[in-house]
Amino acid sequence: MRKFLVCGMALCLLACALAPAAWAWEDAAESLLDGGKGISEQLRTLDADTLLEELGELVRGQLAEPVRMLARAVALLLLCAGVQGIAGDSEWSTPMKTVLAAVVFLEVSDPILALLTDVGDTVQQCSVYLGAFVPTFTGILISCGQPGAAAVYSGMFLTVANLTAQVITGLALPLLHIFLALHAAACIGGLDGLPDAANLLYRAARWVLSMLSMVLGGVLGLQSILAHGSDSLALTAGKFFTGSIPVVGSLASSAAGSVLAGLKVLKGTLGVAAIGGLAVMFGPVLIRCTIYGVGLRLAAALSKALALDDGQRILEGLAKGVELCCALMVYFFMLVVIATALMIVTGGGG
Amino acid sequence: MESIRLYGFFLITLMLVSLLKQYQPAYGLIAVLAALTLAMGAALGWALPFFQWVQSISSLADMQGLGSVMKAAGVALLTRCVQELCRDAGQNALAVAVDFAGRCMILAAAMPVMQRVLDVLMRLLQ
Repeated sequence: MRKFLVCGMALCLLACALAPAAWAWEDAAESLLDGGKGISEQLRTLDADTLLEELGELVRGQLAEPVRMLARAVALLLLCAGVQGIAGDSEWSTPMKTVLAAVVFLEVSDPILALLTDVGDTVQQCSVYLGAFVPTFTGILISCGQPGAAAVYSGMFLTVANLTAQVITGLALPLLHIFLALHAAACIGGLDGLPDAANLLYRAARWVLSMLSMVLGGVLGLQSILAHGSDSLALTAGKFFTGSIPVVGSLASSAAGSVLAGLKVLKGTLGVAAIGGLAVMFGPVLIRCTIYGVGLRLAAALSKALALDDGQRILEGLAKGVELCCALMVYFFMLVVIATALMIVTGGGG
Repeated sequence: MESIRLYGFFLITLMLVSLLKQYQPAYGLIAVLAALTLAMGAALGWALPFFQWVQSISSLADMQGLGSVMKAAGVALLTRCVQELCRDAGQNALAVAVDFAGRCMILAAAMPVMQRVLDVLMRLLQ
């Protein structure tokens, strides 16, 4: 009897202690759900004008740094052309060309290095997201009595998505870094053998990415699950934009239906948070990659027009690297969108 | 007007040097040296606003490599002049020495840039 009394008193004390925390948690959960509903409602009612306005803001925000780099590169190239004109085609042109190539590389390398770091960080975040998210969701599916769907989902994405993420972070990105270093050293030093070696590394990085995109293309055999209601105009626009991306452009173009349908599934469900997360994660870096790529190509064209051959080769090499980064970002974007959309569809959330 | 004056100065110097070389070759060389110094001084006077403009751009846009480029270009130009002078005087060995010294000076001017390039390459390879 005494034991029961002690237990009862202990339970009462425990309840008194935990009740405020429980009420607080309940309030927090309610406010979180309300907030989530608000965001969800905002995203559901997002019209084309607002979306374009937001996109314009995002692009404007990312435009400043690449435009500054382009302006500096143009000013430097004009001055270099003047200096090369003074040096003329004499025997002094060789050491002058080396100095000019080094200066051109130096002026554009800092923002490109920062961009490469950002791309690496984003890919790493993505890799962590996939590595944590896929097994967790598989566990939830199994606990909810859907072992078949869990097996398909985990078998497909735990192996494919995680493997590709690891291959890209561990192999393709380091190859790209070595390519950029070797290419710049070859152009500055005027070494004949190095550009071939550098191009070999670039081709290897492209090859790795194209192999992985083939694997993803195989996985996208599941696109029939997603591609039901994709808007034909949006699909055409998506194919038009993705067709120009190197390496994964054709894959992105053919998977545009799945990605658009995936985005639609996410927009129509609780995946609105995923859309926001993806936009925050990929949007700025992808836009910056694109603008830097265009800027570097423009600077390379100007360099060619001013007969600064080494500068042109350096800028083209950097542009190739940035375009490959862009391809990496598009690949990961597709991977994450399709993984998240498939999770919602297989879980019955769509 | 200044350019016409300069070209006139060069033409007169050319005639003077051609005359001197026939009778006193040593004085011819001295005349060439004097004319070269005067011409370089005048050219530097014209180029000074350009150098100041480049310096202002360099500090405005934080282009640290531009100073090295201008220094290297100046060294290349001066070395070329002195080298040709040595060749005109028939001193080929001296011309080679001047060439070597000029290249060393360009390397020294480009040293900070090369160090920074090396740092960037190391960061890429890390």
